[in-house]
Amino acid sequence: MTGADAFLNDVPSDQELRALVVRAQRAFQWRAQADALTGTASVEGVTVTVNGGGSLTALRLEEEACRDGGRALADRIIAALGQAQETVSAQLLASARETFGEQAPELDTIGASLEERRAVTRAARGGEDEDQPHGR
Amino acid sequence: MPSVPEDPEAVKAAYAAEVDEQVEQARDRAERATAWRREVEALLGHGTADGGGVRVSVRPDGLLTDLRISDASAARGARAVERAVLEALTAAQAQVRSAAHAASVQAWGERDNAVNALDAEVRASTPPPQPLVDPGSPDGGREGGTW
Repeated sequence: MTGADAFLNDVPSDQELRALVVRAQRAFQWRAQADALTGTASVEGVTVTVNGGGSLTALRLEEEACRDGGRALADRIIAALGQAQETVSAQLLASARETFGEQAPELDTIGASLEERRAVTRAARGGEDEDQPHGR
Repeated sequence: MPSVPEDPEAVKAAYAAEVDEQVEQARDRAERATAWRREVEALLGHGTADGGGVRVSVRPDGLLTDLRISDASAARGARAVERAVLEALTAAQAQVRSAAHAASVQAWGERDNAVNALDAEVRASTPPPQPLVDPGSPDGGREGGTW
């Protein structure tokens, strides 16, 4: 079989191509909405804002957050980060349902991505630091 | 002199060989893309501030993977440690952007569109962080600063 043969058995119909274009347009539309989303959360004197991708974009600390050491402060920042990400994740899923429909396969992809994000932040919270006094 | 008609079978074989070569090139690029993606996904950027008292690590997608704050840094007060965390995060973001760019150049060469595409993606995922200012107060209720 030549390389050309590999493509000749699976040529999409015009209707399938139109459906793919519509899905691609919806994906671009959703991505633009997702990029504009933000989420904010506060935990014990720490306020964090994240963007649609879950990146920390703004931080505010109150004195009360700093009173019991570096590790406790770092844990509060990470906890607030996780909560802000949950806020924005809920918005992302709601907008994805609205854009793609309740049963769309895109929801599984987005859900898996959000779960990975959750795992990354959970891992950032876990573990003890042996390198005192920097530790968290 | 009239030209000799080309053998249709030979023409067909030539086209098939050309397509095979293009498919092979596409396959090679796909394999390189997979290796490149794995390499970029494994990258981390690290940043420090306050003499190493604050340390931050981030991924190319902007997610924070580690944050360490020393007791001494925490004791400097909210304003100072807030500034140090943002400074360390900014440095970590710059490092991961640079590392992702280097990995792309190594995989594709300086002028490939993939390099620009990934640079833009990582830049969008690592926006410069800012202090969160209380809208009710011009300076967030605290002393002014350069942030």
